[in-house]
Amino acid sequence: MIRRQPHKKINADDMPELQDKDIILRCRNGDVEAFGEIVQRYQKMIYTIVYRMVTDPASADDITQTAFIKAYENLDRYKPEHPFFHWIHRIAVNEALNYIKQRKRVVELTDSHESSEDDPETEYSRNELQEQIDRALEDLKPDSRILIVLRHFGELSYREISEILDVPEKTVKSRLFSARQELRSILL
Amino acid sequence: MKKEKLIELINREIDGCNSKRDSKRLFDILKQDPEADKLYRDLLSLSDALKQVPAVDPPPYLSMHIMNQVRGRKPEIQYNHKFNLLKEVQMATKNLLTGKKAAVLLGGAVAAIFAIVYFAFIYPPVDTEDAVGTIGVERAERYRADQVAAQEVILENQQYQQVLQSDQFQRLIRSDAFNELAQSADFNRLIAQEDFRSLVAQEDFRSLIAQEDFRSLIAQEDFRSLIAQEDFRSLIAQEDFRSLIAQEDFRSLIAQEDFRSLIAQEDFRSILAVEDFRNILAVEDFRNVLAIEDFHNLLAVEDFRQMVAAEDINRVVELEDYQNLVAQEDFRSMLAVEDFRNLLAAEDFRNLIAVEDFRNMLAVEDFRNMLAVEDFRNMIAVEDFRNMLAVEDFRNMIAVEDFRNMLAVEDFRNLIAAEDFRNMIAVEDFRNMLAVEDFRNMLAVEDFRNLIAVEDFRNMIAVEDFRQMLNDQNFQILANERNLGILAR
Repeated sequence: MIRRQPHKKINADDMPELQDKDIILRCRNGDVEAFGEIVQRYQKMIYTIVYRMVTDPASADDITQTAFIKAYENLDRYKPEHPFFHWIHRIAVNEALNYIKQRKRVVELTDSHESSEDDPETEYSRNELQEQIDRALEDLKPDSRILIVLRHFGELSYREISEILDVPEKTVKSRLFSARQELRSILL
Repeated sequence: MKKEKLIELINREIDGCNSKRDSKRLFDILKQDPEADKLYRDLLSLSDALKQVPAVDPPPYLSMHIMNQVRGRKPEIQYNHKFNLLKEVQMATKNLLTGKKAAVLLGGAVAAIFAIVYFAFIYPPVDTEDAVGTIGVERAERYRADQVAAQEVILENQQYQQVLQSDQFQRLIRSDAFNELAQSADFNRLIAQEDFRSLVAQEDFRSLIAQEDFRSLIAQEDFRSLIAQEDFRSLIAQEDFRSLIAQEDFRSLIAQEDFRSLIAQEDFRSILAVEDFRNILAVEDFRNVLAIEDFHNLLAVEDFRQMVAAEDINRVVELEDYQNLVAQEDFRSMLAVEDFRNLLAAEDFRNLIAVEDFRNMLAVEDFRNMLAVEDFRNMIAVEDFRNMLAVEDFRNMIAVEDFRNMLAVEDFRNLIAAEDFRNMIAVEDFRNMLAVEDFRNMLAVEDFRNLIAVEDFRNMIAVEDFRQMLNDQNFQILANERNLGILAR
C-alpha cells in the first residue's frame, strides 16, 4: 500500500499580504515602477498556470501580459481585504478561459502521442511526459482543466481555488475530483 | 460507505487534506476494496506525474513588456523619479554583482556589448528575498530561477559601469522597443564598434536615451534599417555627430513624428552615405539650423521629405558652397518664412535642384547675399514665383552664367525684390519670354543688366500697360526675331 505524505498546509496568515498591499498602495499613489515588484513576484506562477491552460507559449505570453495590465488598470477595484494573489489569479484565469472559448480548438490525439505509447523506453522521459500531460489537459474541458492546473501546477488549496473561481468550495472539490478521473482515463 | 464519499476521501488523501482519522479509515477500506485501491493508486500516480512536470519559465522579456505597457497605459500617474532613480541604481548595482546564470562572461572592451544583451534578455532576476509573495516559501522554490555568482559578470571599465547603472539606461533596456532591437544582427554589429562605445560614454548620449521619444524612435522598423547601414555606422564615429546629439534641439527633433517619417525613406538613408553630408555635420551653423523650430515645421511637409529623398539632393550637399549656405544666418532666417518652406516643398523646386546649373548657383556668393535681402524672401512667398520655377525655360535661364552674373548686381537684386517685379512674374507671357534664348542672350549684355537696374525700369514694370505689352503677340515675335538683342546693342 502506497501511503501519501500529506501536503504542507499553507496558512493564509503566513502570506506576506501586507507587502503586497503596501506595493498596491504605492501604485495607487502614482508609483508606476512599484508595480514591477508585483510583476516580479507573480509572473512566473501566473505564466505557468496560463501556459498549462492554453499550452502555447506565445498565447501564454500575451495572456499573462494582458492579465497584469488589466490588474494595473483596475487597481482601484481591488479590495485590500482580499489577497491580491487571488485577485490577479482570477484575472489571469478569466483571460485564459476567454481565450480558449474564442479559440474553440478541437484537440485530437496526434500520431506522436500514440507512438509514444508504443515506445515504453522513452515514454517516461521528462519532455515526453510533459507533452503527454499537455495533450491530455487539452482533451479536458476548460472548466475541468482549470481545476487541475490550479491545484497541481498552482498548488493552490480548495479554498484558494474557490475564491479565485468564485465558486463554492464544495463545487471545487467535486469538479476537481471528476477532472482527475477524466485525466486518469486519458493518461493511464 | 457511499461511492461519492469514498472518492472524496481518496482525493483528499491525494491532496493531503485528510485528518489522521480519515486517512486510517480510507486505508482500512482500500485493503478490502481492490477497485477503490486501484483508483487511489492511479490518482496518486497521476498526481506524481503532474508534480514531475517542471514549472515553465516566462520569457525573460515578459516583465519588461508588461512594465512598458503599464507605463504607456497610465500616463496620468505621475512618475516618482526620485524613488525610482534610487531603486533602479540599486538594482542595477546589485545585478551587476549577482546576475542570473547565463553564458555571460564580460570583460575588457566588449563589456558594454554583453551587458546590453544581458540586461535586455535576462535582467532583472528574481530577488531571493522578494520572491516569496503569497505563495509560501515551499511553493516559491518551484518558481525560482538559478542565480549566478559575482565572478560571472565582470565589468572592467568603470565608465561603462556608470552608464549601465544609469537610470536612463535602465529604463531604455526595459523598453519593448529596445528588446526587439537587441535581437537584430545590425544592432549587434553597431554596438560592437569602438566608436559606438565611446559614444555611449558621453553624458549627452545618456540624456538622449532618457527620452521617451528616443525609445519610440528605436521601435521603428525604419530605424533598424538605418543602423544596418555601414554609412550610419561610420557616421557615429564622427566627433561632430556626437556634438550634434549633445544638442537639446536635436533631441527635440527626434521627438517629431515627421523626423521619423524622414528616416523611413530609403533615399534619406542614402544621403548618409555621402561623405560631404557628414562634413556638414561639422559645421556648427548647420547644427544651429536643427535648433530652429521652423526647421522642425519644415520636416512636417511631406514634399520636403520627398525632396531630401531625391537623388539630386545628394549632389547638392556635396557642394562646399551649399555647406557655406546653410551656415549663413540669413539662410536660417529664411527657414522661418513659411513661404520658403512651401517653396522647398514644391515639386518644381525639386526639379530645379536637379539642374546642375542651379546647384552651381548655390556656389555663387552673390546668391547667398541675395538670401539676405528681405525682399527676396518676400518674393519667394509669391505663388507666381513658384509657378515660374515650373517653367523649364526658367530653369534653363538660371543655367546661364550671365544670369548668375546678374545676381552680383545689387540693382538686379533690388529689382527682383520689387513688388512690381513680382507682379510681372505673375504674367504667364513674361514667364514665356524667359524661355526665349535671345532674352537670355540679352542678359549677357552688361548694358541690359544696367538697364534693368535703373529705377525707371522698375517703375516701368509697375505700369500695367507695360505688362500687358508683354502679353502682346507682336512683342513676343519681336523677342523671337532677336530684335530684343538688337535693341540692347
